[in-house]
Amino acid sequence: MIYRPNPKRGRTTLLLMGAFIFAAEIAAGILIDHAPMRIRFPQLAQVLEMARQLKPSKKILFLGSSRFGNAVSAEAITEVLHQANVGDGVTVFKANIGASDPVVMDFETDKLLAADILPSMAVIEILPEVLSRRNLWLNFHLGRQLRWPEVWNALPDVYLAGTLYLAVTTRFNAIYTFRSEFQQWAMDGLKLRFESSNFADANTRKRRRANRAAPADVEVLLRGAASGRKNVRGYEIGGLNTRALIRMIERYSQLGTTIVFVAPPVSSPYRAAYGSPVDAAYLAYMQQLGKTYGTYFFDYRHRLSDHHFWTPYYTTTDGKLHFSRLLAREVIVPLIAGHKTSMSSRALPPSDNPSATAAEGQSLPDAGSRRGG
Amino acid sequence: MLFHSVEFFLLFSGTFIGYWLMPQHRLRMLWLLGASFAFYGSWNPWLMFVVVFSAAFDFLIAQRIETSPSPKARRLLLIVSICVSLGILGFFKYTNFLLDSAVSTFNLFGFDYRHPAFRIVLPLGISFYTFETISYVMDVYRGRLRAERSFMDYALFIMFFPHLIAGPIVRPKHFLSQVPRAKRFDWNRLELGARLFLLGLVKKTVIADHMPAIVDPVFASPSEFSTEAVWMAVLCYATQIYCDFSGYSDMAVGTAHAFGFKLPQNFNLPYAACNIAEFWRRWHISLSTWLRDYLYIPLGGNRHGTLATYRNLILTMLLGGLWHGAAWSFVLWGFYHGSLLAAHRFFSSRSRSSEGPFKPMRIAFTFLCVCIGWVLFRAQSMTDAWLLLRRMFIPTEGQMFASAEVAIALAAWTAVLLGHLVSSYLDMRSALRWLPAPVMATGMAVVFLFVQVLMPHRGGAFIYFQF
Repeated sequence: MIYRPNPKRGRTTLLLMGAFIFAAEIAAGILIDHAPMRIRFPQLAQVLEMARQLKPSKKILFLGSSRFGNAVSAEAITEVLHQANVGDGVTVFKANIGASDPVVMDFETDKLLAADILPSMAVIEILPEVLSRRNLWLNFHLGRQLRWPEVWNALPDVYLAGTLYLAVTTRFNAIYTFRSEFQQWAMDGLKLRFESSNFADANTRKRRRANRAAPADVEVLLRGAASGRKNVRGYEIGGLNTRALIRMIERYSQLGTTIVFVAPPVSSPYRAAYGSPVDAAYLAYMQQLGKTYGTYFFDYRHRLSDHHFWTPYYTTTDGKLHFSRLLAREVIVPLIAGHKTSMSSRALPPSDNPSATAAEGQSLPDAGSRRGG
Repeated sequence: MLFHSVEFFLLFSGTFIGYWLMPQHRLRMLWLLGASFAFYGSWNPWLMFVVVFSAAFDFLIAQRIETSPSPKARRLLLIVSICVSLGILGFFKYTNFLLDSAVSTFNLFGFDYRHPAFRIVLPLGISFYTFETISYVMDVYRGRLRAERSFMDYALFIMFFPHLIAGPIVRPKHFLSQVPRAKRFDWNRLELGARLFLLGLVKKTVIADHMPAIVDPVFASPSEFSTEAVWMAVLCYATQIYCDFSGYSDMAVGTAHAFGFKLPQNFNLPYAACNIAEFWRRWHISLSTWLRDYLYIPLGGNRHGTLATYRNLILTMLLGGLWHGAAWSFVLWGFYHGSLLAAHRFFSSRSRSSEGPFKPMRIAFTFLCVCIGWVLFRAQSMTDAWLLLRRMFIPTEGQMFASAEVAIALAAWTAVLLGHLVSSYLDMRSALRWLPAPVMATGMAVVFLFVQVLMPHRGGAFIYFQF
């Protein structure tokens, strides 16, 4: 048979191919909203898996980002609770997730409650940058938990955060965006195990362990000032983060969970980068939350000296233990023991930091009195 | 800006639409040149001046060569041109290598000499466009080509973005003749380009980019791995470098088709070669033919007796090795291939034809020789290369990969083997012509979606970008 080139063949092929690809991408963008958690948000799937294995007990839940995860030692806190004779039947559970902010914590709360994991106390990381309308972690949220309708609602924030491009690729190129998760899911399904990543991970782990034990150089800490300034550029409280925060507070309040906000320790250059106007707005907002919802707020940002950090905001191993013990002694033990009014004076930090003093002075008595009442 | 990035997709789309909407041919060429500058400038806009200087200098020299009546003056101009081109290449690529080598030599004789480290940024694609400018001037000198009068056309020959960074090394006669020819939009040609691009994308992202998980740990610390793991890594590197580079070439050729240009084929099933000479006729064809025409033949080729032929083969490949990178391991790799070519020439007169029952064994032996070469090419030092070769041939205990890596390696090898087998016995381009358009479209769409799913999280740059 003789081949006769059809001049329209190329056009038909390419146009049909384009149409098929477009349809597949749109379908994937819709279907991904209904994908299992291990594809959409594997880190949360892991946390939920661990939470389901907890024994029935009073649970103290720590919600926050990797910064909080790095600063909190569940073992050290449990040890202090036992020393204070309030640790029986209490489980400290770290549910921190990398790049987490109130939007993630609210979503996580949804899933934890749906899995019948009801904490008696929720210790929530809160720093000025996670209240900013310019959401720094929106690029993660778009991929991890926001669905089509939520993306529409969040469009102003998406634009402000400069993540419009990512929103488009997540919704219209979901196959590419979630490829790693699909691959991992397939590997798990086929029961295939990777070794080469372990070779690399072993070195990374070794390096991280070494890093975590040693305090950071001054230059490293000073670099934190730059990132700190960047995080609070054009600072304005509001947007997705505060909406999510209030939703989470309301839900926990309804269930009788004690809500404790903690600003974790950060190095002095990072702290200084916030500046007075940001600090004032942040502390006023936290005070307002306390007044409105009866939440507690403890500002630990300045409680560790700079030699306790291996990056501008990650604590060393020593720093982690020190902070965990402080937090347990000054906040968790009194709250469990029910000494809410007396604990406020013990939890007060040294008065060398005006912002911290203001925070404690304003939020604790109000919160304590309303809770106590 | 990598071919498999969104940035490239945007640049290509804008250029493509603008190009075909333009009514005038000259405007189209100017538009293409502008896009090529944008493509190169996205890496480092300052280094564009190096390309432009190199191109402009040789453009002017070629015109002087053509108009100069005196053979002596013509020769002198040719030498000046080659010296300037190689001087630029040498400065950017070999300064630190030469200084380090000099220091090592001094230290060997007991002199404590150190030199300050120069932080020289290597302009992308310098090895490729230097060879293109040299071939242009030499062709004009030999009278095979008329010196180009339009600097825009000449600049497009050097700068045309599909081949600018990593080839194929385009011959001036082949490309410059296409520039003035009016271009007509052709859907069928666009489909061919899309198919080639897709094939390159599969090779690069689905196969090559998964290989570093197996290759990198072994080449980083060879002493920790078992013989099986080292073999696996070497075979995976052979797969990676083939799929990475031929994938790039396929994408370059495919992209050029979209603008109505034809670039030369750069790979032709190299691992199906029956001997090392055939391998070099199938691997990086544009470089091996360049080396043959502009180095091996001018050196004397096979015209001055057996020993001179061997010397020329070894010298050509040694310089070809050095062209790849500024390290002694590349020189050794070139010498190794030169020696293999000399040995093949010596034995080929005594052996039978490559067809027959021993063909699979010949292919396997050639592939083994090539793989040994890849060890020299990829190893981080001579000591590592020696260690790897020892482990390949002397059974040694050590770490081995887990099930996932083995599965990935097997899948990649199967894909390459099948690709070689099918293409050896079937003319794919003719076969695909018979497929109905909807079937073809579905197939291409499925492959594209498949690429997206299987792309690794962090795709690497093309290996040949570093050369």
